[in-house]
Amino acid sequence: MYLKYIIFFVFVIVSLLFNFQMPTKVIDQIQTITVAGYDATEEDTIQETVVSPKYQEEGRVEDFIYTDTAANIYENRVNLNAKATERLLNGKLQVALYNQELAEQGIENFIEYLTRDPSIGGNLNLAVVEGSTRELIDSVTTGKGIGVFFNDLFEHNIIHGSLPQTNLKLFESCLKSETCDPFLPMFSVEDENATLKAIALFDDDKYVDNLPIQKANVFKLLYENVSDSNYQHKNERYNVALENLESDKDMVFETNGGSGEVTINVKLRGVIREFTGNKVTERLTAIEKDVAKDIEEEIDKMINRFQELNIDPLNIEGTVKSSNRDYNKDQFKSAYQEMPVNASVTVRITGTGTER
Amino acid sequence: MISIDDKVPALMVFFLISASQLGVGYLGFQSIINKYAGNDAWISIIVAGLGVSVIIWLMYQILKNDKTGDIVAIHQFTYGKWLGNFLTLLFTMYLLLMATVVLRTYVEIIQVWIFPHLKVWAFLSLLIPLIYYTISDQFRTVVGVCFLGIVYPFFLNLTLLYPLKYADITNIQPIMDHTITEIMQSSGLAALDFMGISALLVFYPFIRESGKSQKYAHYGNLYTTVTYVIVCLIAYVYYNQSELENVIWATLGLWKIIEMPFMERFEYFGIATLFFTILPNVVLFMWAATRLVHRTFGFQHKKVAVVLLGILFIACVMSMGREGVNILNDTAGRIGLVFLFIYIPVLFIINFIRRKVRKNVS
Amino acid sequence: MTMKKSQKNVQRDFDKLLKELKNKDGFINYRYEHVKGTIHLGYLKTGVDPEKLEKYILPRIQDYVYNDLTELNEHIPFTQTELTDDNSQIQEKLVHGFIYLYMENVSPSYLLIPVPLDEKREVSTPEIEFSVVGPKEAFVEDIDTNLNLIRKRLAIPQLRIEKLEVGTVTKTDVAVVSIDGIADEENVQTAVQRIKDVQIDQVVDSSFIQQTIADNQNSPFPQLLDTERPDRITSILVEGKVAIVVDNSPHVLLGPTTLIEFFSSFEDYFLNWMTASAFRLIRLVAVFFSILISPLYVAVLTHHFEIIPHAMLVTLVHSRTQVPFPPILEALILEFSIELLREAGARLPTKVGQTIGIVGGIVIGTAAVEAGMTSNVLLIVVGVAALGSFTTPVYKMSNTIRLIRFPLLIVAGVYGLIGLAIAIAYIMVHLLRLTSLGRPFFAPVFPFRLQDFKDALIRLPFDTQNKRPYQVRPSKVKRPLTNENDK
Repeated sequence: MYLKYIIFFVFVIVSLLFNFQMPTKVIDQIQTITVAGYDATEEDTIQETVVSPKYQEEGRVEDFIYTDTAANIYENRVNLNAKATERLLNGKLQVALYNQELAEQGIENFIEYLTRDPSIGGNLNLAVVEGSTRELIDSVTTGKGIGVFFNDLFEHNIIHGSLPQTNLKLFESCLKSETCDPFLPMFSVEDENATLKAIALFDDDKYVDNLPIQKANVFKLLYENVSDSNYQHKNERYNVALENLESDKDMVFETNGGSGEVTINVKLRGVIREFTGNKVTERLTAIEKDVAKDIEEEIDKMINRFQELNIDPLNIEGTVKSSNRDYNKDQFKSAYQEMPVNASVTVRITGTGTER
Repeated sequence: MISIDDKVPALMVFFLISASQLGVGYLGFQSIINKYAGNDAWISIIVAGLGVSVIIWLMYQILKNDKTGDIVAIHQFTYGKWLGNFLTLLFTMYLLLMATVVLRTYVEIIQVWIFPHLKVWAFLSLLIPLIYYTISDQFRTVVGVCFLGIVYPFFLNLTLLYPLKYADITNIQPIMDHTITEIMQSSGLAALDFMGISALLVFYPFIRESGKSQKYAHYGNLYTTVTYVIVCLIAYVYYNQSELENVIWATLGLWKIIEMPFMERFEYFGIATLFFTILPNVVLFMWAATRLVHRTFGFQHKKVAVVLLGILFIACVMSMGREGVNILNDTAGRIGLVFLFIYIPVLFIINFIRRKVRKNVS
Repeated sequence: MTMKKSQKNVQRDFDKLLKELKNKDGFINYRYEHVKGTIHLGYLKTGVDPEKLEKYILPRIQDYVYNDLTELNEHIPFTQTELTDDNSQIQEKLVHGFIYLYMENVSPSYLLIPVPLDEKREVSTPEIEFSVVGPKEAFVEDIDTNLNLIRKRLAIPQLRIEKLEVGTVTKTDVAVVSIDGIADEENVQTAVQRIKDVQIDQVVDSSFIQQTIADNQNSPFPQLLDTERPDRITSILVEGKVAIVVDNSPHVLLGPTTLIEFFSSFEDYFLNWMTASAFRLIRLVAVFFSILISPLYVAVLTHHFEIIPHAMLVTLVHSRTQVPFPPILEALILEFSIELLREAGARLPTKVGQTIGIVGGIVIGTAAVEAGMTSNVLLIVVGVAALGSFTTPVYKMSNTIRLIRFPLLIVAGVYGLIGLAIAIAYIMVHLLRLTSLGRPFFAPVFPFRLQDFKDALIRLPFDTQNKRPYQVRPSKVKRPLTNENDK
């Protein structure tokens, strides 16, 4: 009778014993990489810079920065591990940076390992760096760790600023998709500070152009429904700054006869925070019209530029494909640059702050 | 023959059916079924669900008309003793194969996502006693595991709402862009995720008022179908079709994006919780296989269980690597399709004729 | 003639008995010359209540007029007296606190009177299952008092008490209490039959019965609930369950029970249903927390650093930098020390001991952290887990909960979260297989009984409790809430 229990315990104990030597990842015996930067070098190699924080007494974080050059990323890891005191692991990677030169050559090969590794999450932030990534990483001075620094910078700019939602998952989706071209935020070092400078536009996985961050709020309006953004309008009569902007975006494709036409409807709601004229409450309708017209013009300019570059970061092709059963890829490709894309913006000002 | 204490209420058929269907397929069926129907593959699931409902109806028609009401008796009645027992043996092997597929695929997921250095045989020796402990006693225990295997991981479905933040509805538009043939072809693939219902042929006599349990079987199938459709739709608006081609486990991929203040990377937790979805599959199939051998040859239930678990253990250890798991999955899938959609209707017809003949004779 | 002869034999037997008893410690025998003949009175000093003896028996023997013992018996105000000529049973009776009267040359010549010394505690307040509101009576070590406490609350003719004797040496009284017409006959019979089948030489507490009649003796879970509250027993009897009262034990067993019942305190019924439900839920959460939190800590820190959010990572890594052990060892050591403290506290004589134990724990814990032996996060985790385990109202169950953590810890250390899931599955399957007096132990979760949930995880108001729990298969499912239904 007791044989049953003995066999049972033998099984369980054998199981535990033989897998006991399985490599563990005890959190104080590993070094987590929080930032990885990639630079193009000459020849067929790539330079990788990784940041790994060490948690010192009283919550102070000290970042260790390692750089090396090798033919591919995991070969590089061997070199970097030779420098690190503990094993370097990807699990908490927060930011991956690519320098502009590398981005121009195409970064698909360096994104690939991020999605293949199951320990890397979808919320990883990607960015293009003007200049060297090592320089950018070195320029950051923070007590909370470079990874957290970048993460926070991304987060507040996405939620409250003019940076559209971006992360590994969205980049990957766009890259793999046949209809859309990805974009990434772009950093540079200005006055020895890491600065979000522009939105880098890609043609497939190759960097082609950038959009200054000042114009990014318009891009954001076109890309997604905005919940807290801002817009500044200036004309000869007054300056106005709209804050707390919320928007609804709607992209419609209509065919009338042969060629199709895309219309982007944007509805905006916001409050005035800065106004240099007077009697703002009486001129709301006029301001609304001015701002709407201004944004429409910006949109036209922006889309013309996309069409010139033959890129499609707004996934116009996706909209066309999804609302048109007769969609044909080649036909669209040839028509895209000439396709009329109209913007129709309506602005509603819901408040003027505490003054009339 | 089966005491009333061993029997379970008719409602439990709901849980048995859905627990036998929801399994490892749940984690990655999205990128398999879209082979033909692309973004419309979710319609294929509905089609497959309906098809399986018809098969359930057929099964009940066969089972209801038999006194004992399980596949062993039906096989013996329909084909005579020798051929009948031979077919039962084949069916047993099919059940064993399914248990192997489920268990091995789960171990494979653990190897890929969590423990690349896992010694499979040692890991299995932790699981085998658990399976034995579940199937060696009353059927009630197996049903309990199935019940909790549906109830407990239910909240996992709720976490899948989070990725909807990244949903892009244009990924599934335009709806019905594929031909009926393509959708039907995809349903063939989708049907693989419903295969588990064949266990119904074995546990049917263990149900109280089994004749009235049919509606619960259909509800169970409905629940599975709805779950699959929802998970599939979420995956299809989250990923675009060309992205899906590269993803092996789409559902796990959905969890990758979840970040909570106390927990990031939900998939690690999810894989662990999914053990409670995997376990009912394995124990139900293993119990059914054991029961069949016991019924056919009269060997003692517990001894049969030991032998079959030994086979399961060896089969799981032998099929190594992604390749091996793929071969297992494909084989089980093909056999399953033939079994469900060809063999069951054939059995129904032959059984029907036999009954008529027998009636006329007597 | 024959009469004479037999009287002679009796006399000879008595002399023999007297000789044997002389050697016994505390044996007293004295003679009294009555009008009708010589009377011997004998007893064992340690077993007899001297007060009763002097007050009720001695004056009657001396002052009353009677011809033989049969007449005398009518004057003795005690039940269970015995008249006999046979002295073979006397030794045994003396041990049970009887006195004998022997009258020479009269038949019957022995009168046995029970005057046992009742050393029993006064009925006092419940100490383990204390409640702020509600009745303050608790069972004591005497079966008659205990039965009386139940009978007082349930003064109905349907109350059925079946007395049995268990223990080949101790011959302890065990009573199976149930209400006719409410309790399921099968449950009562199961309990009675199992108690009859018990093979044991001693029963000094109800725990002996609890363990020997358990459905699965190789289970860490107690399968019968024990309580020291008569009000709780009354309540479960009305629900249709069965109570088992054991002599010399202040804990009364009840069954068939369920896992969830172990986490309900009887105080829940004295509070408003919302408060009661909230507390019950807190208790259940505490239990889950208590079982899972330290294995989770071990699993995550050993294998799954990815799931720790960044802000938490800083705290965790920082707290562990000084610790020389891997998390599994660290946790085992700390859990072991907590158990040590608890065990030490339990062995100390007073309740103060427990307090000192906890204070000692804090001192040792702080010192351990400062010395870098363990991380302070783990100290919090283990402390909270210990606290959680103490919320369980039933002592035996809280022991189980604390112990069950150790295998979980080890499996979590080797297999991480997967191992934890498998270990939980083991417990789950074990609970699914477990029964209490033949009824499923894991009900109402499985077999799923929606209507029994009204008094499981939460306690709904009394007007929704109009059906007895299906778990016990009561003979009458409906509870008579108005008197018309009573007929």
